[in-house]
Amino acid sequence: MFFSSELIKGTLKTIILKLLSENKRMYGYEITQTVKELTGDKIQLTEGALYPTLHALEAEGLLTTETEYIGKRVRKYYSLSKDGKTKSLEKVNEFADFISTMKFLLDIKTKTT
Amino acid sequence: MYNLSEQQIEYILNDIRRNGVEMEDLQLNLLDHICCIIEQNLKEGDDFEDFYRKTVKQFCKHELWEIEEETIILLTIKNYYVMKKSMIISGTISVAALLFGSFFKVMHWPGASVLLLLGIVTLSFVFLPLLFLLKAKEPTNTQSKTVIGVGTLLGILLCISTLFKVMHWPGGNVLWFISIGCSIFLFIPLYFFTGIRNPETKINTIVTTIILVGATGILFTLTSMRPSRAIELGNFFANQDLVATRNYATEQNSLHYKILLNDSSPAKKEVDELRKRSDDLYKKLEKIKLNLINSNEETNYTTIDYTNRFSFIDANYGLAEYFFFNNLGEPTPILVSLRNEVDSFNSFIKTTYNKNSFGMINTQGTKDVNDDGHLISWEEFNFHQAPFGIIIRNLTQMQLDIRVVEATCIH
Repeated sequence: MFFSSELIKGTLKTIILKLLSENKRMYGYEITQTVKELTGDKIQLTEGALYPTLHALEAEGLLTTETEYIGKRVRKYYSLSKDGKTKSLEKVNEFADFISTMKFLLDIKTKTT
Repeated sequence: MYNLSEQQIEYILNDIRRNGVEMEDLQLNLLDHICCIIEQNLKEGDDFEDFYRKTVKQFCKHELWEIEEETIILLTIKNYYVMKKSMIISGTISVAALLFGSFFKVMHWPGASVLLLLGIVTLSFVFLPLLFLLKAKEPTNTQSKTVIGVGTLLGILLCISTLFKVMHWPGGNVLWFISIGCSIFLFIPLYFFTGIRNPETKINTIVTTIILVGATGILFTLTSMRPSRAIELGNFFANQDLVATRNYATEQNSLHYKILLNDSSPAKKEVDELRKRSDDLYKKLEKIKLNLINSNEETNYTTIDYTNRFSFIDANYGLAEYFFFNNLGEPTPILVSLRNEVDSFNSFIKTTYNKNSFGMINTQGTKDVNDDGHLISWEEFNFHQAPFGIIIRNLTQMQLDIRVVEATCIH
């Protein structure tokens, strides 16, 4: 089973921030592969959603980058900035709260219907 | 693991570029990403190009440039919120500063000018440009964008000319008339003809246009182009009274001179010089008045007719101002030489007749009772931004002052 891209879109920032808080630095492909492995293929980040989000997070000052040459091509590594570290905690806590609220909300709904 | 050749990498990069991805950062990110996928999944002997096409297809719905578009949207949305926030903050600050500033101004409390300056500068250089940028970002056609742009510029111009008027800076009147003119002849027609064509906005456009014309009209009326008739008449009669007193004092002084000079007194030389100096300064003042009246009416009078009321009405608005002050607000040579002669007259009186400042022509200026009590110079007090009739009156007053000083010396 895959999750719909709509669901993933709203949580993408949280996923990226959390991953980066556990890994010192990561590059784009690595992020998609890690998510894929950790979720047993259930969540597959599309490149079309990942890179815009990475750029936006960088512009917000939550991520810092360093580039490395791999042969002729350039690899951009992302890691959390100081602000990013606090934001990561905030986002994860917010989402945990959201999940429990959703659980409660949806449970009630299933009971009444 | 598949080994990508340099040509293949080049091929991918070119393809990314060809597909409309222009941000270099994004190009390199995508290149590395695609290379990783190919290296991990392609087996030796498989078709590179075919695999590449299939990979890229999974990236997004249709084309690669969508990724770039999405990136730009995400980046600008962030900007958008920051801009919106700063617009609201700057707007609030400027409105508060303007409100308090005008209230302080009315109450003649200190700090009014600073507040007004802050309010107008924030309004015209932070709030209005931000408002324009945000409005221009909305999906409207070029015509509405032009209207918004012209409107913003006009708003800035109006704010700045108001500032110039309130602070009494030189050029305020010119700026003010330019803004009113631009509003009536440029902005309102542009707004009207752009909006009237669209059936949806027709009624709104007509109503707003009427309000705009009315508001501009009120602003124009409020711009006092010349003092009221009552003030002009008042100046005229006040001047006439001063002239009568001045003439009487002149007559009385000359009677005294006759007695003194008949006396073969030892002070004859001094008295002669006093008379000569007084008459010179008196005539100089008369000549300045004559020149002012002649350039105002474009006439060639040789003497001033003090009973002609029309000579005291400012036909050429701001003429007196340009007569005594240049564009930078510095006194003109006419005013500088007048001041020098008054000073030299005073120093003669002081040394010859040993008078204190009360016995001389007052050149001390005055304290501004309305504002923060700073000193207004003699030049500013008598000639700066005063109606034409008042300047003539001030010059007559100086003539009378000379006669009074003379009288205290020879009596």
